[in-house]
Amino acid sequence: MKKRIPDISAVFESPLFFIAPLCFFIAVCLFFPLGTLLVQSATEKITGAFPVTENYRSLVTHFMFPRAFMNTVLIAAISLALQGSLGLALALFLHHTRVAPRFLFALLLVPLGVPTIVNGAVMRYIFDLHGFLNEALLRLGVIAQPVDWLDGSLVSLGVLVAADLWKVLPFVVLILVAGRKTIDRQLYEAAAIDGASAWQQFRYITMPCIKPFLVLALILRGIDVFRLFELPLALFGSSFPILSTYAYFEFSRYNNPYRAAAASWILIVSIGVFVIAYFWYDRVRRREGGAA
Amino acid sequence: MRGMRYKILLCIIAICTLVSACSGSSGRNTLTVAMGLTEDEWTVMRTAVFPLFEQAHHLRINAYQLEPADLITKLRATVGSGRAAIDVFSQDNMQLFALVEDHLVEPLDQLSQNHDPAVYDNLYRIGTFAAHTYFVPYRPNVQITYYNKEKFDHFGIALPETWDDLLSVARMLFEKTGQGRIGMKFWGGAPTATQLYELIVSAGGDPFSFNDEGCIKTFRFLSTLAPYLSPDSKRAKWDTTNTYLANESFYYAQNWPFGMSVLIRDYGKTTISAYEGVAGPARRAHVIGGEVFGIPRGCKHRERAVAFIHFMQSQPVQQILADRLGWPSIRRDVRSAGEPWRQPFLEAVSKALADGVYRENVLYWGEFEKYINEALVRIVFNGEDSTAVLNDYHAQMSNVITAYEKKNS
Repeated sequence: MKKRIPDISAVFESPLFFIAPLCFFIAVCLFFPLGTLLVQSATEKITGAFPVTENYRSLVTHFMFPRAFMNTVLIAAISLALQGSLGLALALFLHHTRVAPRFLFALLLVPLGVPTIVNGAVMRYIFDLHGFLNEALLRLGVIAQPVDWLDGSLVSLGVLVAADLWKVLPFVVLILVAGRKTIDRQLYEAAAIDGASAWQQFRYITMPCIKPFLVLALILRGIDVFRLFELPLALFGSSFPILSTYAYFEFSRYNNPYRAAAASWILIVSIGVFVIAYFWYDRVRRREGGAA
Repeated sequence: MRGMRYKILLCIIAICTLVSACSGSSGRNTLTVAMGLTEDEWTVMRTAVFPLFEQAHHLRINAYQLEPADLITKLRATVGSGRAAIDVFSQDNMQLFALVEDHLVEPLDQLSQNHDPAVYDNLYRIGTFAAHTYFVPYRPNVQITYYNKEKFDHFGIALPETWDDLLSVARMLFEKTGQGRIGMKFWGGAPTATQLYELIVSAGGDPFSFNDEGCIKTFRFLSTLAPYLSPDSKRAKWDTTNTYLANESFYYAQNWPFGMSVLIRDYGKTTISAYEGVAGPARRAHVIGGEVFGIPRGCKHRERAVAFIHFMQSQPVQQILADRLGWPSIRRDVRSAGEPWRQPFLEAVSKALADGVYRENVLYWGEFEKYINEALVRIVFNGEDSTAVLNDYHAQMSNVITAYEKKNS
């Protein structure tokens, strides 16, 4: 008698089969490390006691933590404001220019290909005490003594924002140029016939149409700004603390993975705020689109 | 059918490639050695030292560069996963605590008990934790003070011998050049902690107490000195100090002897010389650093690793290292001839070694390093009251020491 082979084709047609790899990936690559990190953050280093809030408590009350947190938030705010406005200006310029637009666009994308650590090293050459900037200012007679741009003060914050801006602005421009290209030319033609000025066209056509792209770019950049690491590390070491370098020094320099895990979780929550903001915005936009 | 065969063949090739790539070079006749050396040092090792061992033991040394901090990360990953990829490693003796604390190294008690009598006994102390030896010496080291002789002569300034001298020299250079020219390693981490440890000991204090007379004196001195230091002090550590000496941001700074080759040969700064450095209010003290050998837990070629350690400690090898690299030796029977330009530096090393002190080997060195760095930032950079800050860290350090003692008992 011929043995009957069980029909397993139903398994391959099940939706569960198709989402299984994704579930596996998320469980192994996301939830497991995050869970381990969470357990570590609630473990006391010397005694191994669990669960404890000591790591979080010592972090939040640490004299450097408020500064690291404020630096991170300030960098995010200033960077996003500059990236949004400059990115938009450059995107519109690239869209309208007739002077070698493709060449300019390619040139603008070059910093995207530079590794961040190399960017940091280049910026060190520029802003160091004996760097190019001080040398130029000294020769021009603008300053009498070299300025310490990397001393960890507010000036250093400006240096970090500028260094990051150079690297990531092309990414914002790329998204905004794509957004500008989606706006129908007929809208501008109709507005021009109605006598709308260039500013009115920008205010009532360009801005509303490009807004979703701008918000998307800024939210993605917002998440990235909280993850800034190599650049401040290469430029300042520990003299200008931000959350990510703070976690790194706890782990690497002071051999305390537990407090580093707590600092990382605070960073994850901060990034989470931006992710939630993005989803919230997306939902509102869809709802408004649906209503229209 | 034919297509199927090709696919199977391709799969086998891919698997073989993957297996051979993952297995690394843990072959039968190799010894994998990880060290943190400069280019010059690697050249001497690869051309003059390793071939002697390879010929004697009929094996190949697979040596590669691994920085002290990276070694800890690497061993955490490989030993933790049961795949000890390194047979023997050299490590900075300032960064041993993490390896012992995380159980990443094998005890080497036999090696220390039966060591060559020509090797200085006291050098074994640095590798001993809680009555067990985990590391054995192969290169002692001590920091010397580099100074720009041309600039000192030009301004007619004598070399400082005491802390007070150092303060007046710092003020003079600041006034004459408009910028601080004395360098301190304030980058943080081990370079800063080692420097502060040395200063506190030379002020007669116990670094782990944080608030005794010596500690208070040290931090007050640093607060007074700070305005006259080079701004690059904040970014100075062991490697960048050489750059700052070379670009004349520093006219005077302490560093390990490896700096002599970098400054004289690489940068061509023949105007730079060295001496043993200043004495503190209580005594002259210089932390003895250097490198030691260790064997990772679960090492597959332990016997070869032990033979390699014996070989590196032997008289012929130590003589080569002294002659070719100017390294101080762990042995009594090694005398360095060296090149003439090295002589002032070697003299400074000998004098500094005479006042050498070993830092205590404690499991809480990580916490000490963090607290001492933070105390510096709060007192010297943020201008907080030194007594209050030092009392705070005294309490924190006492809690940590008590917790470790309780854990070990």
